Amino acid sequence: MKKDTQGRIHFKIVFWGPSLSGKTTALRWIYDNVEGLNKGGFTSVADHTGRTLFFDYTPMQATAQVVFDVYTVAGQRRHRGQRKVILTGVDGIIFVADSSPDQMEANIESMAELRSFVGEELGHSISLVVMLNKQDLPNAMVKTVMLAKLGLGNAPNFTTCALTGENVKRTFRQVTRDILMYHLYPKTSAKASAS
Amino acid sequence: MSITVRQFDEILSDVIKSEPGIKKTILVDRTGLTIAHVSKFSYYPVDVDGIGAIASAVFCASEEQGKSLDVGDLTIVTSEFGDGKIFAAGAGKGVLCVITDKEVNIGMIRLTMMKAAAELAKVLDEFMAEKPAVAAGKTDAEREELRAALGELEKG
Amino acid sequence: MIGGKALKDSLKRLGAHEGVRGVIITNMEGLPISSNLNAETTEVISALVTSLVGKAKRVVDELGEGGMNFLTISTPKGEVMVAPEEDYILIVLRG
Repeated sequence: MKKDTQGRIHFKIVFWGPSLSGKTTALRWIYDNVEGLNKGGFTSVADHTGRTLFFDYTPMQATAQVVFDVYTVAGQRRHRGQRKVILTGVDGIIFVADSSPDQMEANIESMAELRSFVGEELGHSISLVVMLNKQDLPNAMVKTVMLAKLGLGNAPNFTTCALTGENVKRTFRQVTRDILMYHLYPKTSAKASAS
Repeated sequence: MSITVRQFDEILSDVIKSEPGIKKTILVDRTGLTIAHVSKFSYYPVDVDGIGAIASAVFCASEEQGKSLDVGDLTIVTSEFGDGKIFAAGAGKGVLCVITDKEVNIGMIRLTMMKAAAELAKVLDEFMAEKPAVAAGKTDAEREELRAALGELEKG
Repeated sequence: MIGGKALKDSLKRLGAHEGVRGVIITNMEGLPISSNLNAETTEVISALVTSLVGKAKRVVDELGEGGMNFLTISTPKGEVMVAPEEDYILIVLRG
């Protein structure tokens, strides 16, 4: 949480997850489809095929005084340094896991990296919501199995399809809600465990 | 406007006035949040928040690169384009970004930026102390704003 | 543009003159190319003098003097002599 010079409160939300899991697609879907949020520009540092090289960023204003600055990170392994930079000052994370079985290792690795960067704060002062994306795939992994493998059994989660937007809005609403609740009632709302 | 906020604008304006060719100055914190910005011309259509986010990220990424190469502290990142230049200098908890024309006195801009960055670092410390980011100890007005946002989100 | 060796030689020659405190060659962007002074002083002098040259050029243009060949600043310590060339500026501190 930060205040800018106009006295507006800013919260930073980051979409995290392995390469091609759907982070940019999900943010883009929110940007294009969710009404009621006053959105600023959409900034993207991507290559010519549209793959994120560094991050995407868009500010979304909930009220005149509260702004969510939403980022995605570049998922490919070599962008570790860039991911660490984007994570600075984060208030809430949407972990986008890929439901294809062959991506499970990548999900686990991405989650481990996230834990190594934010440590104990995850699920406490930093809200965490899990997006089990690509659940529309015919061979999609079972939700409970994925969560168990990621060690995220207690984290709020949604099965989604970022392409069609299914449950994407609900995921976003959950993380914004958790962030606000944490800041309104810091002691009681730290419920999601991410250990 | 509080004193510290006015100080940001004053320092950024002084940078613009210091050398011909400076079009815009932006102060952004290291999380990517744009704190203040001043343009030479009142109409300069850029997405300041987006530019600020990139400036901060690029500077911090270079800093990370420097750490892994063990080449000491980073002072300034210079990006040279066909029709202009972008400079980013570390300013304590923030990053000072300067956008210029192509033909400028780089040496002078460097000196001006380093001096301004030192001043901005101090004011930024005061500003951040003024607006504590801790969850506890929020004012009633802040709580009211958070509740209003919560209500707005439930609607959607 | 002047080559590295020729540059070093002329710097050395100029620096050897009596009373010369420093010789700097800077590009038109205020970035030093060569100097016999320490890095920090060189950077400051290059930036400031280049800025001054830009202003002085505008003045002589306005006055219709047909360009600027040389600039001398007389100071209590001596002189700052500035020779603006096409691609670079030669600065000599003397006295």
